[in-house]
This record gives sequence, structure tokens and C-alpha cells, in this order.
Amino acid sequence: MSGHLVTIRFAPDGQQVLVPAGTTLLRAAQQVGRDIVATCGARGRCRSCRVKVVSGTAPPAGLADRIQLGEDEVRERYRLACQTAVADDLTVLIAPALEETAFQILAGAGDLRRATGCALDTGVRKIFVRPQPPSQEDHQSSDLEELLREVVQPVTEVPLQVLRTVPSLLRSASDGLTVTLFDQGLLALEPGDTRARAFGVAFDIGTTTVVGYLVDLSGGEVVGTASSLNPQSAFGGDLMSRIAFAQESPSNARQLHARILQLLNGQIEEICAKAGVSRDQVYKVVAVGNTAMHHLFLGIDPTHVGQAPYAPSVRRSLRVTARELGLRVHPNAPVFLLPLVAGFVGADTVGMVLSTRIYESRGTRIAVDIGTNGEVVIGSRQGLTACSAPAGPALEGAQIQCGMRGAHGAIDRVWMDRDVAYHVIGDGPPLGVCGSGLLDAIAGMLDAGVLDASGRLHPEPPGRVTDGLRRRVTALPGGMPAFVLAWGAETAAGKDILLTQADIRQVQLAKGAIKSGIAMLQRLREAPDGRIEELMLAGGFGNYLNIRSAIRIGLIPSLPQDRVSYVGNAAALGAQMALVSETERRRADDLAHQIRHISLADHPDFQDVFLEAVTFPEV
Amino acid sequence: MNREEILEGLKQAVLAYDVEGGKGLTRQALDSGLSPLEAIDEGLSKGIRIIGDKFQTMEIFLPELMMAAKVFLEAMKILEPAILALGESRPKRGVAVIGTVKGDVHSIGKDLYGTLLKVSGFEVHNLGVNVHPGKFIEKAVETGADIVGLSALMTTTMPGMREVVEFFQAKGIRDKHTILVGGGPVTEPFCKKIQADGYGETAQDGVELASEFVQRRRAARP
Ligand code: B12
Ligand code: FES
Repeated sequence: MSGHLVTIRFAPDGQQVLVPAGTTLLRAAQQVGRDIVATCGARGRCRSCRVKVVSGTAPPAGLADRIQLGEDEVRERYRLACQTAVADDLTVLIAPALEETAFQILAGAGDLRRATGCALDTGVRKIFVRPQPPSQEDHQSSDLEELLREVVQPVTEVPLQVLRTVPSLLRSASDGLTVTLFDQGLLALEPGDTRARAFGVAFDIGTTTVVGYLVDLSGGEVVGTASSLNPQSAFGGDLMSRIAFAQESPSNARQLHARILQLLNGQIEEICAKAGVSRDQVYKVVAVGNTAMHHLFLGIDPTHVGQAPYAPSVRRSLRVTARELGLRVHPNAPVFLLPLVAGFVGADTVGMVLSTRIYESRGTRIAVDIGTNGEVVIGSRQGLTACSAPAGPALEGAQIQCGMRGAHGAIDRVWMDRDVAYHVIGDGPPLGVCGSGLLDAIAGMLDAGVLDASGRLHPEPPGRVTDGLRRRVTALPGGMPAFVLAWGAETAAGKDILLTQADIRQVQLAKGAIKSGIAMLQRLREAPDGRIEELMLAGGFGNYLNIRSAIRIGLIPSLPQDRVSYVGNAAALGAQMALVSETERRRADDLAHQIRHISLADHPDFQDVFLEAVTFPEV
Repeated sequence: MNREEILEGLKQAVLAYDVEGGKGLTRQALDSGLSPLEAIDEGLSKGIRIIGDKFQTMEIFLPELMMAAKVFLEAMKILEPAILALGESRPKRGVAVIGTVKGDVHSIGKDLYGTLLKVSGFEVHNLGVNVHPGKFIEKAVETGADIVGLSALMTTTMPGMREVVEFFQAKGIRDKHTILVGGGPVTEPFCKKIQADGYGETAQDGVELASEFVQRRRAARP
């Protein structure tokens, strides 16, 4: 079917690309840098990549189109971009454009040190000097020696780039020079007194979102933040599909690396411009991320992380220069990556441990990052144990019929008594339901008796269920029971927003993974619920969920509510702490060595614990 | 209790996840002279079939399915010696070798599939997780397996399924065994692409597929 070339146009601006017939719409879009989110990694198993054919003959719909989109949408000329090969010229509209979704992201600014209580020892020192060039031939001196004499501090490393600027700066700078040191290395040389201007950047490279923080190193305040969707999403929503994509060919891995680098440089430019800071005055960078993001950022092939025994290529903390990496801050700036614990317990977890200070706790505490690839850490100053808890994407709204991320239009809160009430992000008509809404809804349905503890949605609810809720129980065309969260008349698309029996089963698996991870670690540490001093919820999703609902559905153990707390984006906070404090950064190294990693799959009891965690708690 | 009541009771014990009740009724069945094979086919298996359907439509979920299987397997522990003592044997549906492919450690779905196969009368050889392609071949040849069931739960380990198919091809024994694939991310098109013989979306589908293939095989044989 290939041979000729066809033109694909993208509405609304009409950007075009010429591709050989047989190319998928997704690949065509990628070629011109139009991002289409491919949540399932272009396997026809989600609907994130759907596009609408607005002119030209719509290519025939395949099985995957019919399953994912349904006959109605197929008739309305929607197609899955990843499954649709083009044969003729077409114009398509990308359904939910990547840019248009405004995510709820945790990116608070403010005084870091007050929040974390860490000392300001950034490692970056600026010294103002007024050196003179050598004046007498018999002194056996040099420009550098004269400069360093004024600096007084020991300097053992001088990069060639800096050396090249010494002769002219030494002679031209009548207002003196500012020398920037990191450790005993000479990082930068600037004319004039610039001591007040020293900055650093901390990055939290998440699978879904990337957040950059510009920090004033002289005072330790966050002076700017930027957050964006991780542009690697075009190659798969979850990290496993990115690994699978990288595994296909080395050029794919390079593409993923290039994309993240480009984004980080964009964020640097954006935050520096907004804060009126020169990129050359950013002297230190710290990054955290899960193992796959960490490897891809460094340009290391993550393939082996995706195969048992899931080993990372490197675990220790790393220091590279911005120049080596191609990060556009001061080229000599050190870029630090916090260490990893295991293939699925990465630098982000180390960041979380650092910022929650769980390592110095007297009593036993638990920190959980709830996500597609979640992590759990339990412990006290007696030691720490961690495991991964792979919930899958259901709690982020994926693989849920009417699910969506916590973006504009998502039902994020649900209340039930006689009937259903809900809140929509942005206060407009609802488009779908996100994870926190899902949790509230299920908790409400359990309380009301619409759902029983085994997770069954009864087609005929028991007598105590109110009429308002009862009339919301319906059935899908195939007969599967479903619950109407929002009636078609109230919604943006005019169709009911439903929670199906299959959705509830997905949530059961997801919460089962988190809960069983916590339960296994509690068992291994012999720390039953009564001995848990605090459970801390970290990460994007953890901070939006309702604690009562999380306990009601058994996502987390049934602790008194005042022993459960939100700790914000703990991984990012850890990165910022390591940025402003060398003590904290070095502590991260020690911590990574001390954390004991448990592979749940190797535990004979795990299966039973998991199955128990899949059911809902009885009240 | 008459014969009908006991058989109905066995079915109900499975449906009620009642292990002790199931054991009691099984003993009662033997005491009252019921044939052990009848107790299975007309009692326990009927219950399991209903459970399988309910799992399929998601009316029940993993824990319930496991509990029902447990009722069956515990009853079997009582029935098996009786079957042997009578010099009979439960007719074998077929032989299956199952495992999770190389690089993958997920076992729950695969074990569940194994249990359902066993309950439906298959002789099951479960190779565990992270299984090298060569192991599948070895066991399939050794046991003369009708069915080789491959499970994968990760996008990154699905290519391992293709590898197994290719190994069987390279050995020249591809047509001697039916290769079925399943597990979370696996799809029908993927199954076609790697030229496996069938895809089961759920364990129950997989059992039906396996039975069909075995029947077809038997029918094709002279
Ligand atoms: C439980 C679980 C685990 C357990 C596994 C325990 C065990 N012994 O199996 C543990 C916690 C150990 C685990 C580990 C990992 N997991 Co895990 N895990 C899950 C989880 C929550 C449920 C999987 C499951 O058991 N489902 C229930 C079973 C019954 O379903 P099933 O296997 O699909 O089987 C059914 C059918 O498919 C069919 N079937 C299955 N096999 C076969 C075979 C044949 C032939 C046939 C016909 C039918 C058939 O029968 C079953 C019943 O109908 C999913 C997420 C989710 N919500 O689905 C992630 C998930 C599968 N895990 C994932 C990952 C990545 C991992 C890890 C590699 C990394 C991590 N983040 O932790 C680690 C391994 C590292 C380590 N050191 O442990 C990913 C895979 C992503 C992908 N697409 O590649 C998932 C999807 C979560 C995610 N991140 O999105 N995991
Ligand atoms: S269906 Fe195309 S990316 Fe998921």
C-alpha cells in the first residue's frame, strides 16, 4: 500500500507534513513536532491519541478504533492516530491537544529554608577581588597566580574555558572581578561585583510532569517555577512504554533524551527570563526522577530496567557538568543527580526521604508516593525499608471509561447522601472524572450500599439505598452495571459520565497494589497500624485525594485521620534541599545506602496480602 | 440427602466459597456411594463454571474466584484417593505447560489461569515466572503438552512471547503444540502478529480456547 506520498494537514493552523502512504497519523504528527499523547505507547489500548478527520476520506476504522472509541465516535470520523495508516491526503484535528490541558501541579514557591529547616550551605561561593596582572618579570608569576593570590581560598581546579578568559579580564576589569567557586573548583570569572547574584535550579523530572525551580542561592528562596507536561508522553504515557520505545532502537532512546533536554532548557530559559536572571548565573543544578527518567536524562539506555531483575545502570549519585550534558546554564555548573535505590525506587524516592526527614523519626512513619509506579518507604531512625507499589494508571484516570487527569473539567470531588453532588475543576460542565473524584465516588457508593465490600455493583441495589442513588444505577449495552455520576444534561459532551463495574475492578487492582505494598512493609518491620505514628502522602495524586475516602476504600491503612498528612511534592522539595545545602545533598548519598529495598515479587506471602488488599474494607 | 441434593449442595458450596461445607458434602457424597467423578462433573464443576462466567462479566473478582477454586481443590483432595481406589481416573482434558515469560515476575494472573485449567481437568505444569524460552520447549516436549500458555504483564516483556514462538519454530515443533498468550497488555492483534495460536483476554476465555484447540487436535488426529 505504500509507494506514493500523501499530505497530512493539522487543523486548525494547517501545518502540513508529507509522508509515505502507510505511515500512521501518530508518526506523521511526531515528524513535525505535533504532540499527540500516546498513553498506552501506541498499542491501541487507550484513547488518548484520538484525532478527528476533518476533511478527506477517513481511513477505515480498525478493531481497536471500534473498541476504544465506539461506533458513534467512529462514525463522527474519530480515529486512533496510532492505529490509523494514511492512504490519501487528509486534514485532522488532534482531539485533546497537549498544550490545552491545564494540570494541577504542585509547584509552590516560597522560603525553602523555613519550610525545611535546612542550613544554607550551597557549596557555591562568590568572592570579590581586585587582582593586578604580574608587574615584574623577575617575580616568576602568572595571571592565574595573581588572581588566586587574591582569592585566598584553595583552588585546585580551573577549567580551560575560564583560563582562556583570565588574561583579558585581569587587565580590563577596572571595577574588580567576582570569582565563583564550587568546592575547590573555579567555576566562573565575571567582571565587577556580582556577589549578590548566584542562582541554582532544581528539577523534578516526573514521568508525567516536569517541574523546574529557580532558587536564589544567596538567600535560599525559590524565585521562579515552571512546570510542563513531560514531552516524552508522545511516546507513551507510563514509563514502561517509554522503556519499551527505547528498547526498540538506540535512536528512539536518543529521541527521548533529546526531548527531555530540550524541555529542561526551555524551562531554564523561561524561569530565568521571568525572574530577570542570566542563565550564566545559574551555578548549580540538582535533579531527581525515577530510574527511567534519570537514565533518559543522562542519555543512558534504560532497556534493562524493564526486564527482571530490573537493575539500574548506575545507582550512586552523580556529578556532571552542564556543558557535558548540554544544559544551558553556566557551562561549568555542576549538575547533581541524587542516587537511586533500585530500578523502581529511584532518586525521586530519595528526595522524598530527604524532605520528609523520616530517617530521624523516633516512631515508625510511612511515606507513600501514590502513582502509576508508586513507592512506599517505612521506618524511623532505626532504619528504612522501601518497595515499589505499581498501582497502574487507574488513579490518574487512565483505563477508566470516563476517566481523565486532574485537569480542567474533571470531577475531582464527589459527595453522596440522598443523591450525588460533585465539584468540577474550573467550575464548568464536567468532561470526566479524575482520581480523587473516583475515590470519593467509590467511598460514597460503599457507604450508601450501592457497592458491596467485594466491589460488586449491584444491578438491583439493596433496600436501604435512596431513590436518588438508585435511579443512577444503570447498565451498559453489553449488560455491565454502571453508576451515573453526572447526567448527560449536566456534562460538556451531553453524555452521562459513568462509573462502570470494570472501572471499579481497575481501581481495586490499583489500590490493592498500594495497600499491599504498605501492608507488606508493615509486616516486615513488625509495625501494625497502632504503631504507625504518621502516614505521609506525597506526589501529585496523593496531595489531592480526600483522606477519608482513601481510608474508606482501603487505599491506605485505617489510621486515625490526624495521623495521615499531605507532604506536597516531597521529591521536588528534596531536590531543592540538596540544591541549597551540601549537607543535605551528601546526606542523600548516605540515605540511599541505608534504605533496604524489598522486592515484593519474591515474597511468598505477597499474593495473599495483595488479594486481601483488593477487596474493600467492611465498616 | 439424596443424590440430587448432594450434587446441588456441592455446586452451592463452590458458589458460596464454603470450603468446610464443600469438604463435608464431598465426604457425604462418597459415604452415600456417589461416584467421585459424578461429584465432580455434576456438582463441583457446575459451580466452577458459573463462577467462571461471573468472573468474566466482572460480577465477582479475583479474591472470590480464588476462594471458589479453593473449595474445588480441597474437595479434590478427598476425591482423588477415592478415584484411584476405584481404579478409575478423571479423564484428562489435556496437558498444559504455563509460565510467565523472561524478564517478567508477575504471577497472579498466570497462576489463576493454571488453577482454572486444573479445575477444568487439565494436567498443568506451571513453570513459574521469568521463564526462559528454552524451558518452555523442554517441558512441552517432555510432557507432550497440548497447550503452552504464555503470560506477560509488561510492555517490555511482550517481545519475549514472540521469542518463544520463534524457538518452537526453530526446533521444528511449532505444529505439535498450541501456543496461547495472555496477560494485561497483550491483545488479539499482537497475538496474530507474533503468530501465536490464540489470545485469552481472561483466564476463563483461555480455558475455553484451550479446550477447543484440544478437541480440534483430537479430531484432526487419524
Ligand atoms: C500485582 C502487581 C504486581 C505485583 C506482582 C505480584 C505477583 N506475584 O504477581 C508486584 C508488586 C510484585 C509487582 C511488581 C512490579 N510491577 Co506490577 N503490577 C501489579 C498490578 C497491580 C496488578 C497485576 C495483576 O496481578 N492483575 C490481576 C491479574 C489476575 O490480571 P492478569 O495478570 O492480566 O491476568 C488475567 C488475564 O490477563 C488472564 N491471563 C493472564 N495470563 C494469561 C496467560 C494466558 C495464556 C491466558 C490465556 C490468559 C492469561 O488471566 C487473568 C484472569 O482473567 C498491575 C497494575 C494494574 N492495576 O493492573 C501492575 C503492573 C502490571 N506492574 C507493572 C510493573 C512495571 C511492575 C514492576 C516491573 C515495576 C514496578 N513499578 O514496581 C515490578 C517488578 C519489580 C519488582 N522488583 O518487583 C506495570 C506494567 C506496565 C507495563 N505496561 O509494562 C503495571 C501495569 C503497573 C504500572 N506501572 O502501570 N506488580
Ligand atoms: S490508543 Fe493510540 S496511543 Fe493508546
